Amino acid sequence: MVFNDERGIEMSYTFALVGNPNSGKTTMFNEITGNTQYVGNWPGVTVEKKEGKARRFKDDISIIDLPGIYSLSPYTMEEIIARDYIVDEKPDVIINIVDASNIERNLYLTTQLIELGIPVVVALNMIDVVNLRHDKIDIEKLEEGFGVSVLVASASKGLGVTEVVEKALELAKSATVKKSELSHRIFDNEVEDSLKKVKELVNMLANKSGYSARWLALKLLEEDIKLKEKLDVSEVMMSDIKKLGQELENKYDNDIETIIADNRYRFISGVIAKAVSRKSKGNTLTMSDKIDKVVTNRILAIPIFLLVMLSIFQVSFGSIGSYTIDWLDVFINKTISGFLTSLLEAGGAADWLKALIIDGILAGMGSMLVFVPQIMIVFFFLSLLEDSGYMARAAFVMDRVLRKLGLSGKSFIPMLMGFGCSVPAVMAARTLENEKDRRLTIILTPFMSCGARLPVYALFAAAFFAKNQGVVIFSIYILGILIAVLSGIFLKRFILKGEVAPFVMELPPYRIPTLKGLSIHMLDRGKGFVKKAGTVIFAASVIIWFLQTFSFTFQMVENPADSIMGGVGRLISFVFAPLGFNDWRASVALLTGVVAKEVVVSTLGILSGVGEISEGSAELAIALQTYFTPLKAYAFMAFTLLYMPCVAAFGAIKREMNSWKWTLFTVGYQTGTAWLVAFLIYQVGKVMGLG
Amino acid sequence: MPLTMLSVGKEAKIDYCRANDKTKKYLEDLGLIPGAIVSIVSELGGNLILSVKDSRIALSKGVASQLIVES
Repeated sequence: MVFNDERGIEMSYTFALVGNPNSGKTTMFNEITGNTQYVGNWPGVTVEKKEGKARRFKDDISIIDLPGIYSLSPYTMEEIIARDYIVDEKPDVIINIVDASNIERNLYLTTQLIELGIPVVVALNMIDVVNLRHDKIDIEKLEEGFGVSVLVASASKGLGVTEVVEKALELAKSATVKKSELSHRIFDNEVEDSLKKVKELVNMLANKSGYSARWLALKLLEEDIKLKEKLDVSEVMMSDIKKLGQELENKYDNDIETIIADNRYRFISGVIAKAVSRKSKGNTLTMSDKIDKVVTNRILAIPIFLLVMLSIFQVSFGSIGSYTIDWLDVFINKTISGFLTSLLEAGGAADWLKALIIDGILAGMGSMLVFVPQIMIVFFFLSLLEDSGYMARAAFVMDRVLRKLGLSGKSFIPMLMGFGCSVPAVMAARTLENEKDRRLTIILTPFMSCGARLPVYALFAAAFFAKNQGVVIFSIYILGILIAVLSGIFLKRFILKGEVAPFVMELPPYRIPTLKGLSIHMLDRGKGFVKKAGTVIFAASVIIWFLQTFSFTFQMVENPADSIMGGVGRLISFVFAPLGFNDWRASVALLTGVVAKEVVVSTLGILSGVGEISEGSAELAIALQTYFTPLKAYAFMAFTLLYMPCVAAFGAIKREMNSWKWTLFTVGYQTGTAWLVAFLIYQVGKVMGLG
Repeated sequence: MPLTMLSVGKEAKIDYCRANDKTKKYLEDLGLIPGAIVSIVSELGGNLILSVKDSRIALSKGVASQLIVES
């Protein structure tokens, strides 16, 4: 809390949004802050905490959106992030988002939050779903039971959100934190007695660390290893606490964690029995259940899954996708290029300037910009899968298949997202509880061909496989999946050995995706690519143009082969010679492709001197035919697919692996695999007489 | 009996859980504690979609066989 003493009115506060996955936290966050963060319908959308400022309030209120968690026990990475934030940063108020349509399970977290000694406001979200079911929730009884303020809200409809923040503000401003009276009512007398004893033991430690003594006692009684390590609790103290825990275990004939969880759930049941009256009986099938009976049916599940995936590919890479490319190609490479050329000529611009703008910048940016709509279509479908709730079912359906490869169904979500962009996909691997499973998923995810690689395939397929473009591009995607499968088996067998974590995942109810939600995500991604074209690709284009225009002695060269770029390309091209593409331009393109994979296309565009002639990529295709054969082109596409991902994804891998050793192993493995696969394609193809 | 033996649509009460501590704790956080009433919504090759309270939890066959229920 920061006070501005001089004026005495302006203050700044921090409120944290805490709740179960899929309870609508991110929607609430967007509603409060006016942000447009993407909201998905699968557990683990918010993998990192996000910060925003509350609108419509005079005070300076920071809102922190934490990852969705089921409890404060640090068992998954998200739970660790969320818990560390809450207990260490101590927000002024916790806004606990509770999904009213799944109230009992959601309140389990609430019973833990109210023990932290931080004021809590419960936002009973999705109240509209409850109303629709004609169930009744008595708010007063709920407030009485939990000893906290409860407000109803529907974040998706924007209802009750301001009131929640107002209430939180009121709590933050009232200097005295109302100690909730209820905590000791959650547990049985036996547990309370033991807790009291532990509390006496840890009082000093609590004062030193600033944690609430009761919370600390409870966590140590549960033998929370993370906390024990963090506070460096002495073995003597731990063994005293353990003794108390064992006494309880003997009394209940159960283990301590179960006793405490059971106590919490029984407390909740007691409150719920008074506060909630249900019209619907528990055992009726919901709409979601009925859909699941079809979608996860033992006969239909796989065919439905394949049908969904194939239709997405068909629309994105078939007629509709290629239509947008043709249209934009003409627009950029004929209309804009022609316009700029005449403008520059009329203005009497110097030749070098004309060359820089038309051959460098426009050729570089244009050759990738044409693919933005198609990439947006891919993202449209990915968000459709996420928002509807099908993504989580696909993970369930694929679990059995993936388990044979040494992965869990949870790995499916990051991998599918990988078809959009590797960066969020690699981050999505955080939902995997087991470290080895997570590492393996991170290594394999970039083999799923991201949107940025698509321009490369599209270009080569058009140039060399004009009649079968769709099939060839599709085969590259399949190749990526196949390599991931083989790598999974190989790595699990020899490097990341061990049991795969059991698949346990909450399935969100199906929801009809809103057009608003879908377009936010799609436009956001599209904007991201355009921005990338305007910044990274723009800069790369200028540098590449410069390096291919000047020689090592900074003389303007007639033939790009004599340029700096030509020199570098020839120097490294021996690496690629066994793969068939030993031309210096191909080598350079792969090198620059590490900046961003689309840059492979812009580099080839610039190096082939396209742009001047306003025929665009058709011209580039003809240029490529001078130094590629169809076989070489296919090997090149395979290499582009598999070799190390762009620097942004590299950064994400480094962050998520949290180890240089594993990061370097990942990109080394990927690049090695790329080389080997391209080598096999080219050499076997040559033997078969395809070269 | 293990949860895998329960037929689709029938209700049962969780008796105890034989999974390792970590998995068990996670299941408890999701509401799968002894005494909880569960039913199976769908079954696919041994993997289950379970209805517990108001939520639906997907479980792989291995972990489902470690949950012991009484009907």
